[in-house]
Amino acid sequence: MMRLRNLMIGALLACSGTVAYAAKIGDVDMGDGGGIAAQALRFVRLTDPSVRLGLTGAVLLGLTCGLLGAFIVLRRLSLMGDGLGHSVLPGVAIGFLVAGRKAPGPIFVGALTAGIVASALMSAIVRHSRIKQDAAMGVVLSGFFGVGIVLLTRIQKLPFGNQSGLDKFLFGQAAAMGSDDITWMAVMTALAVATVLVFYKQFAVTSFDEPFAQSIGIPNRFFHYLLMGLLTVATVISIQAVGVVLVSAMLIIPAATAYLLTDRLPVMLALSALFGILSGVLGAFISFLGPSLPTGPFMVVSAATFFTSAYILSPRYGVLVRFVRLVRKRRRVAIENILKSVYHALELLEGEVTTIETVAAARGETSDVVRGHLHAVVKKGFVVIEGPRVCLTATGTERAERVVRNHRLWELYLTKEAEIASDHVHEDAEEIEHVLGEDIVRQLEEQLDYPDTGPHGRRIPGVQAPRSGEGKAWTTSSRRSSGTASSSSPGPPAPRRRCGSWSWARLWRSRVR
Amino acid sequence: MSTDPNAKPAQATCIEVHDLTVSYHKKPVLWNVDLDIPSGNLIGIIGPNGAGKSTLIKAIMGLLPLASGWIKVFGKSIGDARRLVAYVPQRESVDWDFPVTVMDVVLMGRYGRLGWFGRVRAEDRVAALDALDKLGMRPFAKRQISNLSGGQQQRVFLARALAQDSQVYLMDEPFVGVDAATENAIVTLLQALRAEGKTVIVVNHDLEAARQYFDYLLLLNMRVVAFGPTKEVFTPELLQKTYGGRLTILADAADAVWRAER
Repeated sequence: MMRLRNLMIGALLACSGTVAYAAKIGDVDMGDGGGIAAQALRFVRLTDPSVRLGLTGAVLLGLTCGLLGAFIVLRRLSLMGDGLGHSVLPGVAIGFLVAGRKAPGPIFVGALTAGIVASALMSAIVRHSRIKQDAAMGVVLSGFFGVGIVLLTRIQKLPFGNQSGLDKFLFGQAAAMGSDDITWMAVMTALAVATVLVFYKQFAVTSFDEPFAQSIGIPNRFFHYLLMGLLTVATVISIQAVGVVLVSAMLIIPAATAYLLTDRLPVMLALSALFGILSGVLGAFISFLGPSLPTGPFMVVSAATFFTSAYILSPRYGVLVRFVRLVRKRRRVAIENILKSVYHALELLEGEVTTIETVAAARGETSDVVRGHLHAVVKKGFVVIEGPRVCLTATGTERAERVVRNHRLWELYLTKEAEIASDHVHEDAEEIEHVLGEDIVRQLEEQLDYPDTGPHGRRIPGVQAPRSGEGKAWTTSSRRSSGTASSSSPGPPAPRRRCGSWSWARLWRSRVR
Repeated sequence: MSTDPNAKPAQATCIEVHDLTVSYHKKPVLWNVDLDIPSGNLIGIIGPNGAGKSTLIKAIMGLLPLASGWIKVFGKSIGDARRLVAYVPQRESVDWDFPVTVMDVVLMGRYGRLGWFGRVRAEDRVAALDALDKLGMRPFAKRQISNLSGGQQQRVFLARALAQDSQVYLMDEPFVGVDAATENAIVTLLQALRAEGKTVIVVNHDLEAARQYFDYLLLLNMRVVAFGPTKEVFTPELLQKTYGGRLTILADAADAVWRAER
């Protein structure tokens, strides 16, 4: 589809013999020289009428596209936006032919008609054939776009076609916007914004849950076509400045940016409109700074920059935050695993002090690697190292017992309640031990009736029956001042079992994500 | 489980279905359904996959075109009786990443009475909070809906229906994939609604639950196999008839209709 479109653009360029470069606001009045700073000053002062027109246009189109784009993105109609954007082109050309000049009124009516016809055709194709939505969109989009380009090519050859400036509709020409264009845009923007505000609740509920909306008497189809109509309006508003090819970007990118930043629909609408306006203004500003800096593409590049920033930096859904979260989780799992290894070594020795070599042998790692792991937890006050010897501090014991408890409770749950063979449960427990919350642990304890032994015959530390009594014998309360080892062997040693060793061997390659 | 329906006066009909046939893409999925659903009862719809259970309640809600027949709700067409009926779609039918809070969703239950231009008023908020309370979801009112468990999401949907304050509730598979706490909450809700004289029609998969929870059962398999008080219709013979494979001819006929008209 993209290739087809590019081919058609190429054909147009070849036929018309002009280079359809994207124009910019400064084109109108650039003769008097001046560097970037002078141009920037001119832009900021807003004394220049062409600047004011261009800026107003950018704000209007950013607002409309941002606001409507939010619903387009939420309804998963992004491709529809693209399709409609392209299919208005024949309407633009016919409007021009009828008026004989570039008049906003006829061009607007033509574009709107073409958009409506195109979306009706898409629905008709889907309804009356085996063609699905995406293919129907592709057919209508490229078909209409092709027709539009054929018409534009003809217009270029007409006597008045040379100064028509219609080729600018492909990539946008903010500089070409006159004050009557801006008036049209302002009216249409007001219409679109008012419609969205008045029917906010209908748009919200039909976007979220169509069958429900219908069940309370909201006419889904009416609001769908109303939105499509507004979408066409937004497209028509934008093509002057952004161009047919890129107009859908202004619909989709600001909305997608907003969607990454909030969980509230009204906030999303506001942010989307804001990013639309910012992108529009920024694009207009950059294009004003120097020659051959196009308006429309710079608006889209600005929007894409905002999107990229949100994609990386969004406090909730940003890649960065998720990466940090992942790193933290990995680090926590690593800490818990090394504490667990030390705990296991102590458990086997039935003592309070073990050696780095013992732990290393159990993990299948070299002593140096294990020493490295241990140093990280020493800093956190979980472990004390004296030469080759290692022991857990009170907080370290507590943390290790929690993990071992989770692991063995889960193994027990899987073998007893889910009736999974006891030699299948270890790997599952390796992952779940780090994520079980206290409330689930309480439920497990209760459901398993406060067990004291795991399925592999080893003691489950730190399980407390709610009443004082026999279960109390081995709580985690082996308090001691950090640094000095004391009685940490809580409870009777569990009988060693054959399967104990394979569990050790697998510890080091626990695949925790 | 069955409370005494005898205590009630002669039961009025709340939904009347007459000779209903519904087709999907010209292929019939429900044939000639006749039903008189009595008011003030818990009614379960059971039947195998593809039996047309969801289709039936969607048809009652007016969400599907009818191939033939008619449906009356309290003697009116559904278009005139929307305020009297609340619909709970299947939980999987929506995108739970949609940027709304629990409260926003429950308030949607009030949209029907706000009309085209009405804004949400204080009394709508009260009704929504009240509905959340009844399902134990009030503490979650400000949560974004994707941060909920499956059972909590189901309770949000039920709260939205409750906020509609209707006479009849149609629920599509509310028990699917919910935790024990939610199942209890739903059962409590069903009984409370019955106590208020409301009618609840529930599509359900679980036969044992259906037998326990509902006063009436509709056994459905593309046509009505049986409809009546649970004790009378929950019999091995009728269940066998509903779930057994003797309806292949009906399915074949539906295929034939579809092929002839495509």
